[in-house]
Amino acid sequence: MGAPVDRINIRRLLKGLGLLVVLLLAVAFVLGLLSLQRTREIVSEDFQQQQLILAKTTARQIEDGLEFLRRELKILNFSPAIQYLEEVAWSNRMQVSFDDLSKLGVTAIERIDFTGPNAGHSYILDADGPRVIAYNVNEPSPEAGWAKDPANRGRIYQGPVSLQQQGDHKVPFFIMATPVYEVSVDESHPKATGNLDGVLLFKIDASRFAGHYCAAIRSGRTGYCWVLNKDGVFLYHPEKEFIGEDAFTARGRRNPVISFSTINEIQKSKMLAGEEGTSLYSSGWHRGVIGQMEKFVAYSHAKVAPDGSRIWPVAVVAPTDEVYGTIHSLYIRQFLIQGILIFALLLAAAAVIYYEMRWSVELQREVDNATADLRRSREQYKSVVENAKDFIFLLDEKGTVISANTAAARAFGIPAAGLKGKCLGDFFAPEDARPMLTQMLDVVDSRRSSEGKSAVRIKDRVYWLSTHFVPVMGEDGRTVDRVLVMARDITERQKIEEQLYQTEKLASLGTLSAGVAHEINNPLGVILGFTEILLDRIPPDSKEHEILKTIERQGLNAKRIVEKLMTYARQPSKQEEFTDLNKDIEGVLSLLQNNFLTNKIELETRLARDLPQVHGDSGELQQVFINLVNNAVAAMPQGGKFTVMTRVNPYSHMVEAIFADSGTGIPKEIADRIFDPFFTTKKVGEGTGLGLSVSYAIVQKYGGNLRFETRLPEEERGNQGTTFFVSLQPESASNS
Amino acid sequence: MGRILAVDDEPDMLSLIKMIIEGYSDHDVTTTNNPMEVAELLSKERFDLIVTDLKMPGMDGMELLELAKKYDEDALILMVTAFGSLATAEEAVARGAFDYLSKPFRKEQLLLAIDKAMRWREMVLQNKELKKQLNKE
Repeated sequence: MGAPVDRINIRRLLKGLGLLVVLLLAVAFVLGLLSLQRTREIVSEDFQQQQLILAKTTARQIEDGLEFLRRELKILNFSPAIQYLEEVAWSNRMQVSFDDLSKLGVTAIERIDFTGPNAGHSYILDADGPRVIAYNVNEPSPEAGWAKDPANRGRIYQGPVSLQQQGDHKVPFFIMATPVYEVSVDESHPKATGNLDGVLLFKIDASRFAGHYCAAIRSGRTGYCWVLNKDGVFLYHPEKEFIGEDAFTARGRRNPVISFSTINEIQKSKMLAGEEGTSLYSSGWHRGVIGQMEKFVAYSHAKVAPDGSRIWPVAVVAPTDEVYGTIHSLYIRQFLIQGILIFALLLAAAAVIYYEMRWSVELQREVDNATADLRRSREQYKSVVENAKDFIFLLDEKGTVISANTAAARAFGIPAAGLKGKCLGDFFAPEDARPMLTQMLDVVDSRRSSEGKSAVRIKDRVYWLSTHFVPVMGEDGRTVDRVLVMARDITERQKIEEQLYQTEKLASLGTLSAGVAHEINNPLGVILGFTEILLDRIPPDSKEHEILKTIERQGLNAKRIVEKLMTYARQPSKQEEFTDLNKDIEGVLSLLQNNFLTNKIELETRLARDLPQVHGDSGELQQVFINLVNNAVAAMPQGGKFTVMTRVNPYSHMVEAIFADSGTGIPKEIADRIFDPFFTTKKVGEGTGLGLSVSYAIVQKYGGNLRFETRLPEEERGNQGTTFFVSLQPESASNS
Repeated sequence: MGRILAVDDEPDMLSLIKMIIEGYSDHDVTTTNNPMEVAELLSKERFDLIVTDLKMPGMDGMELLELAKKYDEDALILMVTAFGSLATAEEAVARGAFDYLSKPFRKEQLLLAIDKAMRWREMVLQNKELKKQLNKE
């Protein structure tokens, strides 16, 4: 029954789970993108700062390099071999410096002589070795002109970068110079003149100088460094073609399709303006790779003039792809890990859901089975309860009926549904309901089952009930909130037990009677015998005769009692004796007819025709009937109605003689004793108390039964009285 | 006039029986309240009728009947019983007793029974005598 509902639930669950996963993935993706963006920003910023540090460091190194050259120039200038241009010595001294300084881009050391015997000569040392060439003093170079100014004594001149065509590319040069005064002494010149003699200069390849510091720079993996001069000409660039070219046009010439406005603007407004900073720009070249790409750029500048008035902008650049590529690969890996994790989670969730569903289905099946079992069990229970002959009903703790079975409803004469809500007193007589209620309340208090046996009256009929009260615990498991009452109708069994009891009583009484009779008859025989003899010898009118007659009378009385007692001791009659019940009854009734008349008793006789003969001795049975009639008459001192009828009982098939009076009834407290020998309600001397017990013994002897029903005036006013049933075996019973 | 042996373990009952028989008839009565003496009495004397109680210590009426029949096959036994039930007495008659009486009995019942027994005894003896004579002839 629950399967479609399950499928719907499962579908919903899976849909929800799928949506959740998509949502999670989307959120993770967006967060990842945001994180990537942020990471790019952070990493870019960090990278740019590192590039800036590199640019700054490079600029400082360039400044330091220039300062080093200045110092070297000064040191060389102090050499007497240089000052006095001593033969051979000047070239040796220059060679010492040149060996070191050529690494810094110094391509030549030159000493121009203005004055003295060697005036108009220039002493040069370069890669080709030392040589002396003529120098036109009248057309001095800028640095020579500058040197002649006495104000510049001891100072360093640094000329602007000029471009020199070397083959197919330009080489940027600049001059570093200082005036030469003859101030040093040596053996050849023991006395310094202190006169200006000329100028000493370094011819420096700016690209090699800058390259000395820039070439080794690596920003990131492949980032590099380039340097401009104050005019925007490349002093150094890893792309050799750019060196000596205008930085604002060189790129465009190479890649006309790419806009270099950004870098041009940066160069113009930032770098050449002497600012430091970082930025992004589009590039068309990177270490041999030609094409548009975005680059990080960090820029600083080196102050190249001794007075700091000129600057060389230094830039460190690196493709953004290198930085972002690393981040992207990291992020792709992270995404992959996240994806795998989510997939694993999804798989685990699916597995859990699958097993949970399987378990649920299994559980549902077990519950269904258990429910079916329970239903079957309940049906069986209901069937058992409903078909039970016992009266079964459920009471609440106040004694109100909650439910009842059919047997109970039938006995109470109320439909089962109508019993609900009724109290015990509604269908039991008050004197019966009270003890039952008390017993039920005891069960509620004690929480223990209780059993009892009692006679109760339900709708004019007396039932013997064996009642079992069972406590039913409430939901808390501690208090009793209902009581199950199972009452078994044991009326028939009770009757049988009573009969059995009577039979056993009679049997033991018979044994006792036989012994007693013998022991009494002996002395009684002696007493009566001698009394009889004495009576013969005493005159009849004497006092003694009268006393003897009394003794004899009482003796005979005792004899009769013993004879009655002996009824119990007699052996069962042989079954061959039969008698006509109707005739016997008629005989008795005619004998006692006068009694009815004198006691104002109306007699009604309904004797069945064609009644079979019954087992029994006519005389003994008549004795029984006389006893019953006498008792009935005694029960109706004010007169009444006496009904005698015979019939064949349709159920037991026994022949019944029924004697019903409208007398006072038999009180309950003596009802179970009326068949006891010597039990009588009559005054002493009026009855022996053996009538009913002897009658019982006689009927029993013939395989019959004697029972009674009684209705007391307080119970059945107008319908009171006692009915005796004499059941005897019909003749046919022995034939069958 | 006949000779009657009365046996009962109750001496008062023996006195009563003796008083009734001897007071109201001309028969002689020998009594004993010890059934064990009966054999001895029977061996010494011949009785026309034995009136015996049924239930006695040592030997009951039925055994006594058997014993008496050994001494005299025509012995007449009148069984007296105090049992209300007459079944045993009836059985005794079936086994050879002449008659029975139940206690308590009226003296006429006893006298009647004795008279009946004596007449029977006389007839039996007479019959025997006649048969003897007939055999002699």
